[in-house]
Amino acid sequence: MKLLSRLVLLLSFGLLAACGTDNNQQPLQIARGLLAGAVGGNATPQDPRVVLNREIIDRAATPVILVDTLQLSGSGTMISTGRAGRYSSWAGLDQAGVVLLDDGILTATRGYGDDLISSDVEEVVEALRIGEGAIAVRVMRFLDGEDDDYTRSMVCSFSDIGPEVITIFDRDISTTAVIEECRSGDKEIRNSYWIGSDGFIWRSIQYVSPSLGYFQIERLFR
Amino acid sequence: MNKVPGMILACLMGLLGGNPLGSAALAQETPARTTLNSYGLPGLIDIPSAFRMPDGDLAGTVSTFAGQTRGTLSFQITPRLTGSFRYSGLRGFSPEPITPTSDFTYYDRSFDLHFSLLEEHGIWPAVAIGLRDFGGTGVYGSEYLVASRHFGPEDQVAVTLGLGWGRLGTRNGFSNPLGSIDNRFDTRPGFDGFGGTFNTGQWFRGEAAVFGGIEWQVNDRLAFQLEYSSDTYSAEQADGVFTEKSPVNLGLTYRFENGTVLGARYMHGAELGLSLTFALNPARPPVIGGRDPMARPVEVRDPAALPYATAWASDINAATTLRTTLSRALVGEGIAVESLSVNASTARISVVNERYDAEAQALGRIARAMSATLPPSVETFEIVFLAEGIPLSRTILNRSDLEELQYHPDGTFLSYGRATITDASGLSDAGMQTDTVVYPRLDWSLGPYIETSLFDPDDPLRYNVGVELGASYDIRPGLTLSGALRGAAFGTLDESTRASNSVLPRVRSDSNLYDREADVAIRHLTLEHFGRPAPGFYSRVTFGYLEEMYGGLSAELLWMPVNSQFGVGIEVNHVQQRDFDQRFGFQDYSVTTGHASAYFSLADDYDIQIDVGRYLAGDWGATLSVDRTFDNGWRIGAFATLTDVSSEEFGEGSFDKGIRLTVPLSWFTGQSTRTEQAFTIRPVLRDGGARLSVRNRLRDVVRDYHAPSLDDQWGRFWR
Repeated sequence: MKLLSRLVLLLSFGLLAACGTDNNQQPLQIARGLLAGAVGGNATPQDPRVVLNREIIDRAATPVILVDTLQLSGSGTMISTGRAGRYSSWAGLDQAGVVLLDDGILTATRGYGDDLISSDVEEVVEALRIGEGAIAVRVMRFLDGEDDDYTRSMVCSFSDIGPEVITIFDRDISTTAVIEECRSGDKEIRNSYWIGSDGFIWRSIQYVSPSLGYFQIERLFR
Repeated sequence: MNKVPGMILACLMGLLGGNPLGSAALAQETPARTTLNSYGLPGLIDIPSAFRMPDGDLAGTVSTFAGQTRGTLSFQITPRLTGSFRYSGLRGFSPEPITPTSDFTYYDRSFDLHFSLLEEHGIWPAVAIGLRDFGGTGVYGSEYLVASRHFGPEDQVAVTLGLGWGRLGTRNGFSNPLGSIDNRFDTRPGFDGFGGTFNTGQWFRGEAAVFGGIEWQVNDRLAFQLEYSSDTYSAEQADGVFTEKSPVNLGLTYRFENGTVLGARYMHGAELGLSLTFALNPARPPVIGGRDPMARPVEVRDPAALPYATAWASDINAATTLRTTLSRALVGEGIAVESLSVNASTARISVVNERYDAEAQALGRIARAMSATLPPSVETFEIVFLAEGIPLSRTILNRSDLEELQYHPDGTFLSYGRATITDASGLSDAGMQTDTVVYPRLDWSLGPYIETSLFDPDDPLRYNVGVELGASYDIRPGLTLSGALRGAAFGTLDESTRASNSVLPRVRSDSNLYDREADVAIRHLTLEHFGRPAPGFYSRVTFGYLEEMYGGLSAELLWMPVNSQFGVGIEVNHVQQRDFDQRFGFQDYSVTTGHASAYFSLADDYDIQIDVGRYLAGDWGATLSVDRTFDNGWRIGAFATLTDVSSEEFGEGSFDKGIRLTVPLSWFTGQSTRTEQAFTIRPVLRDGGARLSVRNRLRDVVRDYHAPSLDDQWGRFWR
């Protein structure tokens, strides 16, 4: 009995993680998830601002965006993984991603937790074209804790801040800065866009969800 | 702290899965939590208040003073009704008319209910009624009617005034006002019986007394409480537990950022006490919607290529090639592809979902993988979920809908509206080319396990840690030979020496003998057959060593239509009791046991199950189970069984009952996994009303893939 117990003891600790053919047993991954707590995406890649420079970006010559999650204090580059009509989806190494309308307006996120599920921002597109004084309705959908979706509709007003030259990895770009201020009851959000002369959104800071706050999205290579 | 509070704390922490609340407060506004008293229910220090917890809150409270330690798990069952289970260690106290030594600890289990009659509104106070220890041995037996109201510009002061009976009617008691209705209320009869029954004969009887208190919320974190308690602790004082100097208790509570509340109090001018409360709400996970990686996008077909070529469908290897490609695409998603049937316009995939606890999320990912791999002419996707080798439901999706809706502002709702969910029994493959994985197939697993036994007065938390080796051999779909071996490495389960005093056949009460005698135990070793005899019907036959204590034959038939919240089942078993060593041998006792069961769901939030039949000891009766269910997989419920066994024959507890929790691991991690932990807490495990614990009962196998469950988490389809 004693010997057997000891053998069993050895076995159980030598193989502390369960193993077998069932590829869904992921005890280590789950343990890591527990330790990591509720913050951040799926992994922490190196800070692209340190690793990247203009030369590398131009040599790669592929459309790439830089997403800074601001509140989660992580940032990563993403490349396009699919395009359907005016929508494009973008994902990074950590397998989290965003969906953009017309390459600039955030309509969804995935893989961050409390993601923005979908948005109706057609009126926002139009309002950004008009700029100062435009009004638009913005609709965003989220999930609650029991995976039911809920909708937040907001009325947004737009104002031009004026011309601004922004620098994205050593490249100067002339833009117009536009602010979008939205309201629904006592909830308020404030998005900023830096738009090139052809209407292309080079940089933006856009609201994502209650727990994620705002993301900054920059286009590194068009 | 002596070992009792530590133990109860460990037990509650274990149940609550450590302390995950740190991040629970991130997103939606979390309702303010109510102060809980030393009984773990809305109140001040010892006395109750009329407030209530936020709906769905689950709170664990440990409190101690003068060696009187209470561990309480409270659950806000409905917006108005709170239920509690409490395990207490009372040092130096005995309910018997003897004075115990000061190191003796009496263990007591009790259940409470707290019901909110009126909410605080305008000038009107909140009013609540409550039953403490309504079904135990009555140590804490008391009832109350209480009113509470907030005052001050920011509601920072709460005043409570109430009327108590039983324990709460022992200070300056006056004759019961209810006595004017019926003089039966004038006297409170003594406690008799075996505990566990509803002591209705005592409720609101005997003298009544007034209690009251005031709470001052200094800021979000800190609050002070002052109360006049109508509980004199006379029985405890008689046993010399402590000597009261004042009816007034003083306390303070501090709420930490993660929601944990630490309380300190000065009790009856004599003793210092402490309390600690953890709370979480299953409806508010730390990570909303999970943190799984982004799925691959739906591949949109090129409309310029219309009409799409169909020549591929006449290739005799088409199904094999496509199934291989799909399997590769889905293996990383934890989806096993069992078979694929295709023709030029339709593809039907049969899968086992091994990862996603949100089944609709699995559906969305499978659909996207199909759009990325199948030839453009395939417009109809049929996804069949399998479990235990049998088809459960079929979801039909149009590929063009997926293309249209993946980024659509209302994509979640529209994709649900356009999906069709049907029964998957008897689907024909006629006119389709089919490729299926090869049987037989062997799976195995090796991993650690922990087993616990609660509430043994000699050691209230016994445990074993060891290793379990499991294997299953699928002979063909629906026919499986499987077994599991367990070896304990260390633990205390085998130290129990309490002999069963049951007068019934010892169908469960010898459980400690099983723990003691088993060295390497065969947990189960069975041949199982699952089938679909007709649409809406499921069948199971299990033969062999069914569970740790019984072997034999078990057969079950379930009728549960795929779109229904209602089901009916029947199960018949003939079993023989196994040897204590849990090897191959049997004892003499055998019994035919079985039940007719009805399952239904109330308002999608409560699952009700009624089982009527014959139990292991040959007793006839019925079990009622009620579970509050959360769409994210949490289930919290209670069950009770009444049979023709009298409470004298049953012994301590009078009848079988308990509470149970199912906790999905993904709730804590945000990573999809079908792993969940189930806990059943029975105050006492005895022989009356005991059921066979056969694996893979049909309702649990099938319900996750039926339409109501897919609907519940459809929000994850595009996740």
